[in-house]
Amino acid sequence: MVAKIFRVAGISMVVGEIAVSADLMIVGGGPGGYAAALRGAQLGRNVILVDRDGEDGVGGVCLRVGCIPSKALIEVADHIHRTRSLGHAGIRTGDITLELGAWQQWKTRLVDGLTAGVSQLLRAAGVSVIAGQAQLSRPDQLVVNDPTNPLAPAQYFQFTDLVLATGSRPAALAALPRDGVLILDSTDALALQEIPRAVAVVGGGYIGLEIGTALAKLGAKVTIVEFCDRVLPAMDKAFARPVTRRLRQLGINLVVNATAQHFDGMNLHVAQSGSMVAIEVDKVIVAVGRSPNTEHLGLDTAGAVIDERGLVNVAGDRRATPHIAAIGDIVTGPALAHKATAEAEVAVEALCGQRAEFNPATIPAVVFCDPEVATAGYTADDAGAAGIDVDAVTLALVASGRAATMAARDGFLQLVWERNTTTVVGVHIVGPHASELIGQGVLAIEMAATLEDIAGSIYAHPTLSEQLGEAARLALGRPVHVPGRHR
Amino acid sequence: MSELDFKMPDVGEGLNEAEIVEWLVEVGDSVTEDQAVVVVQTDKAVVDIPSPADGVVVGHGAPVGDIVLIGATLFRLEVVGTAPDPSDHARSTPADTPAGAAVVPQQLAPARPKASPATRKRALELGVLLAGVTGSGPGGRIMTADIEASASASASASAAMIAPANGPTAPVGAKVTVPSGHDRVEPLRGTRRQIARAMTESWRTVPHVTELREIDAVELVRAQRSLRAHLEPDGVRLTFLPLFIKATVAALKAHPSFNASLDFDNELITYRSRYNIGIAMSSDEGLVVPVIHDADLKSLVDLARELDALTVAARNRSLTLDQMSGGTFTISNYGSYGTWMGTPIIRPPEAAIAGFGRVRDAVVAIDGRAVVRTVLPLAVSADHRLNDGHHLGAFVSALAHFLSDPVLLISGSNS
Ligand SMILES: Cc1cc2nc3c(=O)[nH]c(=O)nc-3n(C[C@H](O)[C@H](O)[C@H](O)COP(=O)(O)OP(=O)(O)OC[C@H]3O[C@@H](n4cnc5c(N)ncnc54)[C@H](O)[C@@H]3O)c2cc1C
Repeated sequence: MVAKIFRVAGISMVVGEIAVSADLMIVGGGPGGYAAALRGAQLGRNVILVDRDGEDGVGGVCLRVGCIPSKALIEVADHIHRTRSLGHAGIRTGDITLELGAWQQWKTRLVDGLTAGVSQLLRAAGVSVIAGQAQLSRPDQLVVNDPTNPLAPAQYFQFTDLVLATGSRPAALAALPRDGVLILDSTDALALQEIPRAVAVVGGGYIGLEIGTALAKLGAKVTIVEFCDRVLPAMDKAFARPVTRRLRQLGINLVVNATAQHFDGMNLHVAQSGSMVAIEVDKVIVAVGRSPNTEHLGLDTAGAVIDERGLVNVAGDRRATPHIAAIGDIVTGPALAHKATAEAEVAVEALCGQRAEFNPATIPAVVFCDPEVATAGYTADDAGAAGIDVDAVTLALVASGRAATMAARDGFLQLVWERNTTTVVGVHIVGPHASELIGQGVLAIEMAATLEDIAGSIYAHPTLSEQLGEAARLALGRPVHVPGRHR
Repeated sequence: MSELDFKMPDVGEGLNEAEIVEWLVEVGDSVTEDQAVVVVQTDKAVVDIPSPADGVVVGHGAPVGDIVLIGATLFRLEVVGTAPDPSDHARSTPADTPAGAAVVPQQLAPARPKASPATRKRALELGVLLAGVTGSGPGGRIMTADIEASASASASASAAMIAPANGPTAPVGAKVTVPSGHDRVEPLRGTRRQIARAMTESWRTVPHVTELREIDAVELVRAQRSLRAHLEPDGVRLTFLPLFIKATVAALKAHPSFNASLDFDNELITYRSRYNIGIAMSSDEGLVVPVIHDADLKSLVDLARELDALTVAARNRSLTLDQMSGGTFTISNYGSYGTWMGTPIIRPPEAAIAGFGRVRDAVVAIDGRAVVRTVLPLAVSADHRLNDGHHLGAFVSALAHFLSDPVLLISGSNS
């Protein structure tokens, strides 16, 4: 066999069955993969990152079709909605609308800007980025194919260590196969050029709720169809309550305990407690969870195990075998970008022979719905189930002066602590900017702060962050803004 | 249905931790009462831990390779029907709680050790187990300084014993090798970890004194050959080892301070009445020391048979906790590896250890003439806190006496 040699991003490559030797390889350019590549480079490894979409793939789902685009949409929808709804505070508006086409251009620019930023970081760190679909051909060998061109020769890499960060894709519903026009997944929904008149969102989890709320604020008639008896079924019921109230205020039609069966182009047919309901919509958005991209990785050749949910079994240091680690949406734990990034550091350090363990006290979860929901650590129920003896207080948002100036009333902050040590083990926030405020809670939990630590810190006034201190004082029996409670 | 937090039980001998060797039941799988759920390894043995009730395992307390403290959650069980009291597993009689009643865990688990991420990272780097550190911070919070103090306490304890008195003091962490290139790093686990701990403990606490001697083994070899030929038809494989054991027991009877143990903290010496002889054996995982209990009451044939059984059990990793504990003195038969002489390391709280080298022909001087005799190299290490050089000399002489005149051993009187 004649081997052709050429150069890609500075690496000599032998094409054909002869494998090029590689040091640390990363598959997937998402928040897990690119963070792993950068950490590997920091530790002096020679890093090659493979993404299906090459340079364009860096940032992964999160940057390209997930966290960032969805928040860009939510941001503008929220602006418009708040401006409209502050009539009682004296704001007089004409007709405010969002030109979705123009928004798409803005979104594309901002996503491209951020992607270019990540590429720049990778380049500066000396990471080579390669395009192609990667798969294990042997326990220590990766074969990379061009999925768009089956005739292109495959590239073989013999690696020392490998990090898999192939992420996830929208889970499909057999009854509602995606066509990208009438039946959309979250990626399609974030690429809409026009606001649909009436739309059904199938799935009341965080992704469906975020997109549904934004579209409703932008003027669409939105129906949310949920299989369970309420939205946000994975979260504590208390968090769903203020969110449900707001969904109703926004005119969103909530169809719970329901199964979407069929879309005929005019009506979405939904089975609900034995009878069929027809909901007239233009489009259906399916957001019923995510499926991990693990089935075509050839993991079995390396002796790694994939469980029945499609997740790769990994040890505490995220290694599935001595030289292969897996992180992000393809391993256990919440499918969230910051979890993928945090695991990246652990996995690469472990592969570099350092002692490492993914063992956070908490991974915060945020829903950018209205009001925002942010949770970190144990709820009182979870703690009980885990055998931890806790106590909890809930401080209503109405106690906050700053919230009043924002015309926000619906929400709360809940503090959960271990009873005998008063160590804070849970912080849960529903209300404006909960996504930002939760950082304080995470820090408190990670630092094993006690109620006195939190009550003894001074928070700027007037801010929403004061709620945390006030909740701790309430817990200690000496609140300032809650009448009649002292210990 | 109710959920039960099954805590790592005390598997005996005051051990305070165990390592997860294998999960026999995966999360989500159901188990029946007394079905083994997990295999753990303690300092002494590999033990199956059974389920206290019928149910579904809903969580593993730790992955394979992790160390679990006694009393920490080992696994969580979704119990079918009546849940037994989790602390009551040994009896495993159905508890008298009404069916379906929720179990209130007897002891509520603390959330996790109170330590910041930076402190946890440092603990991982220094190999310090957070759960074993007492926090000096507010509310018992473990501070980075606590971790470093804990690490340097063990580091300097060993440095003091090993390093020359005037040598430079090694800074904390100096012993950590930074891996480079294709170095392979693996956690210290299993039998290797136990050996490492036991040896460190011994070397750190026991001042060893070792005597080396070569003794005339002409009669010993003759006795062993004729006994072996005699017993072979009965399927008994008589090696030198039963004879070594017999001779050792006889010497111990004459010198009780070698069949003793020292409790230094309480300043007590215990002279043991039983003669339980540990035999150092190599296994795939490393050194194991099964014990022949009451060796003084056993015949050479008994000893030969028991040694065979222990060798097989060591190879199959099926030695029981009983077979691994209770030793009063240890024998290392390193001659079987071809070793001439060695300096054996004592297994505290035992007082001494004997090492037997390879029997060989050597030129020795007898009455001013060079003659070829069969010799057995002998090494005995003793805890110098209990025995001085002259005690050791007397003990080795007694051992030599019985070995060079083995007829004394088969008399059965041992003295
Ligand atoms: C609409 C939406 C909103 C979201 N909002 C948030 C949020 O607000 N906050 C949050 O934390 N998370 C959010 N997420 C989740 C977040 O996007 C994911 O958790 C995160 O992207 C996972 O990162 P990852 O590195 O595991 O993989 P991904 O980001 O999925 O990246 C995987 C990459 O690997 C590539 N790839 C896959 N297989 C192969 C292969 N065989 N060969 C080569 N390349 C391959 C893919 O092309 C992709 O680029 C959201 C997701 C969606 C869909």
